[in-house]
Amino acid sequence: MEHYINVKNLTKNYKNVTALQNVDLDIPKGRIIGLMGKNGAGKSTLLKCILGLLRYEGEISMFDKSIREWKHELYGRVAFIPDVSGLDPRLTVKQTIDFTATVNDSWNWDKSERLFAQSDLPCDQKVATLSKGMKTKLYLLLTLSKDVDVLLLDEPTLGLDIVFRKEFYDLLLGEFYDESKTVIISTHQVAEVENILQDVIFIDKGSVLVNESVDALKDRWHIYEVPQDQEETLMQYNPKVVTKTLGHVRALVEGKVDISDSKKIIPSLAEIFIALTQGN
Amino acid sequence: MSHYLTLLKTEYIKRKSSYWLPVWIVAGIVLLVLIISITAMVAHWDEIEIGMINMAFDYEDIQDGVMFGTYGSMILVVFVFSIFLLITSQSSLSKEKELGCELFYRCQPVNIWVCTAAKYLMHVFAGAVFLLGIGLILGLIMAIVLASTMGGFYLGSAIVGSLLGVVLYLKIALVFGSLLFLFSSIFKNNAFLKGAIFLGLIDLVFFMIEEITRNTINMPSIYEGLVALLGNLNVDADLGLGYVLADYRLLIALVFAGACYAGATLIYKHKTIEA
Repeated sequence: MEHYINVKNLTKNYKNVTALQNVDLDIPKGRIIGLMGKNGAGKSTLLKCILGLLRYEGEISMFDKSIREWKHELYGRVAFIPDVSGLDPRLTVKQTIDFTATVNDSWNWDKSERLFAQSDLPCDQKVATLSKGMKTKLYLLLTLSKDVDVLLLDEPTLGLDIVFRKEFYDLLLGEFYDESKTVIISTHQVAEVENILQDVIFIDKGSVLVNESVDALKDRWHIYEVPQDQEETLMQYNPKVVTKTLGHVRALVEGKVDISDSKKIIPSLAEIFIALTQGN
Repeated sequence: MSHYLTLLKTEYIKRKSSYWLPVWIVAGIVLLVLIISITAMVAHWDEIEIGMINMAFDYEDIQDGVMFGTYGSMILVVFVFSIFLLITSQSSLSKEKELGCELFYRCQPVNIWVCTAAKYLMHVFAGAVFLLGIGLILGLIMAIVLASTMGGFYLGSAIVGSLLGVVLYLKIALVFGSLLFLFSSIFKNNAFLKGAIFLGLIDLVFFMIEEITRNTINMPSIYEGLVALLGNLNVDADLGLGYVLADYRLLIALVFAGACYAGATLIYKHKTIEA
């Protein structure tokens, strides 16, 4: 499998705080990957290290070339949408489009004209006067209009309402993703992206806990619901999260459980995520 | 080429008001002076005696007079523009971080040296274009006024006076604008104030060394050194474009400006973006 990004032994320290510790990752081509972690887990730091925006220890390479060797040309192949709508408030929508289009050789004019014509973005309005949703939409359309290989999204829908969030991910899947492109979505709103992810990386306290496909993860972890008198038997399987309901006990367990009267439920990514990060 | 023009154009759009505000301030001052003059003229019409046409002046004296007069008028305009230069250049490399859009610009496929060069040119020197425009208008007005009062149309001398003002501004931009551009890469905000305090502290240390050693060691003065880099500024008989440009201190100022730009870019390039 061809990998776009390789991370080896990555460590990042901020004065006395270790944000990332000995992270090893191989990000394959043509996958949609969820980078999940609690607030302050190190998601943004990891993305910024990959983009070459932070100094770090270890080695990161993208398209088989070290990030330290890449210059500005890297941003012709990789696009990034940060967690705050970080567009220049002094420019109008049109000026922002013109600027991005001119400095990016990979700009696809046909696609951009179609996307912006379909959108309801007011071209003559200043970015400062747009709503947060509109700013995020503008950022996404600017990014989708570039023909890049890798797209890094850092909490892109934070603070947006459900309609904007749905529109955002629909556009992302419909207009950007194909099997030659890789998307990394950093989020802690796991449920929101569960259906579009192929792989998942759980990160906690600067370390990678899980790095595998969503299918494999859901094959491995199950929720079992057993009658309360079977609780002790269930506890022998070293469950991660145990909750009690009316007359029943529910637990997330790795592997299979052989208990009579047990009910097997496929867990959501959020449930697995909570279970795995709670113990840390 | 279109990349470079876009970068320059975008920098202009970002700081549009700081280019036009000094123009409106100067226009306001001129308008105010005009209103006062007209009011005074109407009130004292009988006492006014205009008409120096019959007075005998040496041709070269008139030329010098027109040049000095225009240059003197330009000093006020240069002063207004210089204040805006300090305001603009002190946040050249820090404004985007303050506005939260630094990542957007840093993640574009643009060489960082080209990016900072566009900022440097537009924030430090672009005011000179507006100043030149004002200078040409001012020179024309001076020539017309003198033609109507003294006779003869001395547009060339007036334009030279205006150009001297522009050159003075360019020198201020070259030395102080470049220095503030460097400070903008070091300080997150209030680079002018923080930079001035920083240089003041160095000067204070130098002064203390001189005092402690009872002036046996002569320490340089930072501020005096910076002002010296501006070169020939004396309004005397030798004043002319050749006189102010053919100055070794201009060469030193150019080297100083280049070092400030390179230093600012290197600092900006290596500064990390905090998560």
